[in-house]
Amino acid sequence: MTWTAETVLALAPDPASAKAGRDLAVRRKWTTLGVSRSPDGAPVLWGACQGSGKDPYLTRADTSEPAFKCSCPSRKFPCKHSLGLFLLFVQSPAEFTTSAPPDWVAEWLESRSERAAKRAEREARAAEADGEGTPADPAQAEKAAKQAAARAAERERRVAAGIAELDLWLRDLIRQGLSTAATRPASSWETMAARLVDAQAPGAARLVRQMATIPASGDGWPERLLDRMARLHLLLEGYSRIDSLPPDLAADVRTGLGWTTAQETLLELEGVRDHWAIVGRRVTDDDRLRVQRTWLWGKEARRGALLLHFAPPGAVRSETKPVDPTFVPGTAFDGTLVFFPSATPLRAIVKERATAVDWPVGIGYAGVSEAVAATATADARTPWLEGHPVFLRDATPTTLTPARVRDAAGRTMPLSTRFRDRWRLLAVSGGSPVPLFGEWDGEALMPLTVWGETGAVSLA
Amino acid sequence: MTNPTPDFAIWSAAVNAALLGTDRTPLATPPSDGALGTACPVLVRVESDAATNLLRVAAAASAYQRCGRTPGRSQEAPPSPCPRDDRPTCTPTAAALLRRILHGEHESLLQTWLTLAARHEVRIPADTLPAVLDLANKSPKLRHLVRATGGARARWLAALNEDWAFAIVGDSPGALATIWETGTGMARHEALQWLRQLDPERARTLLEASWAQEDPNNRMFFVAMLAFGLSLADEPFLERALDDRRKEVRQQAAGLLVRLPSSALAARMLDRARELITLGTSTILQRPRIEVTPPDEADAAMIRDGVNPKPPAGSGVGEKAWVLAQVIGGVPPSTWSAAWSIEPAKLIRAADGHEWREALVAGWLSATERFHDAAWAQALWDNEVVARIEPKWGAPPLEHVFTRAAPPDVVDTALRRELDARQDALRGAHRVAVALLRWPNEWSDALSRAVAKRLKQHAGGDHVPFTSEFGMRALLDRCAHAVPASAADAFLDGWPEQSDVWSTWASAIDTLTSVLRFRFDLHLAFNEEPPA
Repeated sequence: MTWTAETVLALAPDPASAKAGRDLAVRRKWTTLGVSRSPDGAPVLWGACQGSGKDPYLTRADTSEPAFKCSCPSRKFPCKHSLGLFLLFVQSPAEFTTSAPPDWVAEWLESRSERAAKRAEREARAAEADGEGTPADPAQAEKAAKQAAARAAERERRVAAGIAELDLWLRDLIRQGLSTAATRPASSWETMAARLVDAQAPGAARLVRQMATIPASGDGWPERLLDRMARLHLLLEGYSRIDSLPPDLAADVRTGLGWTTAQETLLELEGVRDHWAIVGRRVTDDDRLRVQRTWLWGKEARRGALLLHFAPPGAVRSETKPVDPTFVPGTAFDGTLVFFPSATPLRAIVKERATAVDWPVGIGYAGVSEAVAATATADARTPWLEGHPVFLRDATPTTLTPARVRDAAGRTMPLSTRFRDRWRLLAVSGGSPVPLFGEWDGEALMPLTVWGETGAVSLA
Repeated sequence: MTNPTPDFAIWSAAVNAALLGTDRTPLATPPSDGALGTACPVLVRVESDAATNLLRVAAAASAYQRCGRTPGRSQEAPPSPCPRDDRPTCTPTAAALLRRILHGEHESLLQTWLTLAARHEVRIPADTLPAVLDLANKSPKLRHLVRATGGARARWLAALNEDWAFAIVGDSPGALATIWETGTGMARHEALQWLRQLDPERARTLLEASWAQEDPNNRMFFVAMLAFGLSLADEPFLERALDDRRKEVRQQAAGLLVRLPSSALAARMLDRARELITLGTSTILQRPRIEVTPPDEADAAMIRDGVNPKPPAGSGVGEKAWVLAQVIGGVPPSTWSAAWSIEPAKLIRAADGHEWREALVAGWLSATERFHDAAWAQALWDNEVVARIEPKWGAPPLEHVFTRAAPPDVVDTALRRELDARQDALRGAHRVAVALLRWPNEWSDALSRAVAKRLKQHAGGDHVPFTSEFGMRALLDRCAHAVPASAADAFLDGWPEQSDVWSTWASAIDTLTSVLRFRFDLHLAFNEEPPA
């Protein structure tokens, strides 16, 4: 990868670090600056930076991954010195003297390569144990398989028990009336959710937690609450006769309750090769996790795909900072996606990302009717979907309140009341039709990206 | 989006039953021969309890509704599209720098960015316009730049948001006149102000026409707008405003009339001043001598002409001296030097030790600033011992008068010479430091280098830490914005980092260099090579 000032700064954990890094990317801040080549040819950098302390900070960067180490006490990663060093190299490589790494750099490189070797060894052993190679001992392999099956059966048993309890709980709520739900303490929802987590059904737990906020959400809350409860009930009924469901729908039910599909298993599948346009990105904090939702749109597949990237919230401080900065809305790549099994395949992982390609022209829905029809079909197949990708080729944001977008035929979609960036949307459109991507929840559209004359603009 | 069909009634019935609880109200599905109605008997089973049945029906009804939804059709007319803008967009680098500014990095450089964009006739990226308009709303000095660079898109947006009314006004006097006549609130203020710059005569005529109907609270602001493009043609209107019921309006009008040397008010002031001071010759030293006949208290005619009769309470300034200063302040200082054929410097020296020195100097300072008299500005600056008076006199400070009234090259040279000559020129409240802060112009290469040299001496030589240097941070901030590209190297390098007091300077110097570098990146982004 060729690094530029922009891509280096994208590594910064927050805007303050980016700024501090920029300010340190000056020759006079550094007493030594050196560079050598790592075995794979990527530059390895080091420098000594005089901070407020007596001793200068010793900063090291291996640009191949990239990896950083600095002797400063900052808990941010990468720290401002690491960013400054890297940035200075990108801007003025001539300031770095080519030489053999000094001891303090060589030791770091050595420990890194040792760790890498150990990791490779571990992975090789794990792959062997998975039965990739010849099993060392058939008896042991059989025993491992038995243990795995026993664990799976135990989970099914616990989920079934948790779900039976949830079913009773939902019915109690209906028997006593939703009006009593408004007076329940928040802890009653949380207790149920926690029991579902214990029962290894985290998906159901999440749905219960989401319901907890509905009674206080204003007008129309009984409709919204019943809607959520009914959908959850559908999930429970689906699970009660999961063996009779078509495999894809069964997979949706299991995903909804909280089973995950191992990505290694998916990567063995063939996948869908296409030109994938990155149409939107949204970073949210969800249930103790920072989640980056990246929406793609296939040129030939003519539909959306969703990539999820996770990070613990502590690791990424800034609210707008993407978990994986390499998926930039407005760019496209030739590659292969593997979709998670579902009656409405939407979530996917990247199996291969070959090359960047030109933006595929003409993708998206021609109008609102087409978009609504497509999302209705998806809803009919999988009633638990929460957000549909909607890419309108020619949407005109309206200037009156409530905010809407309209197509050439005058059909409209209301915009979400949580949408905060209406002025930017209007500024980019100027009252004319523009390509617009957003998440549609069946009621309102949450715009994520709009395309103006200078390209994609991410909205908040 | 949903039609109240019989099937819809099923959903409503389910919601109502659920709200009250099936213990009290079991679900009774209304009959319907729609698809959902036909499905209900299958969903409701005798072996299930009432709650389960309700959830089943609700699940079916909710999915049924969601999937059967049809999009709404708009009754509104589509928005009128924004007219085309044929100017090119700015470079991607310039756009990226603008986004950094709008994210709070060197916000003070937004003005520079907009100035460069205006000079190169490029467009502001559309997605940044709301943030730019918001900032210009808060900071009026940016508004004319936003008007100049925002183009059709900014005007289109501003028409939708009252806060941005200042950007609506176009370049056509006709359109501005229409906004003045039919608009409301801030939009009218902005329209009149802009029209005054394009067509001063028309702006005043419009104001006169509606004057009687204007809210008394706004009149003061409208009169103040006549400061731009002020001419004798404005006199009749301003003379009438001297009799306005509001004191603020009367004072604004007097302040403008006094700046018109041929106005009747200026003539009245001159008559008064001539009665108050005359020039004689000292009998002993044969030096010019200013004879002062102290005024009686300000009469009604003086007060009508804007003279404030009472000094601020507790200032210790005498009433007569206070009135004297104001009368002299209303007369062009060149009057005296011309009438008496005497150089300003000699006249100023004649005030040295004079019983009325402070009143005379206060008047001259005000008048020099008001009439932009370069010769007097220089003479006052050169005679600081006489020309320095306390703030209680209400006159503009010497540094202010000098930097506003003397030509830029004169100011630049004078400040540089003094920097070269005086070790302490940047110390505390030294007049050079104060003048540098007050002077809004860009500095010459030579002046910048002289400033850098002195700054480095302070940081390195004399063991006085930055934190005890009063006003140093403001001065460094001024450097960051006033230094031309050609002198940047003097500030980017060569700081005495081994100095004992350096640690107290380091972060302030970092900020300075970071702003400087950002400024030069801006010039590069607009394809302006900063000179090496």
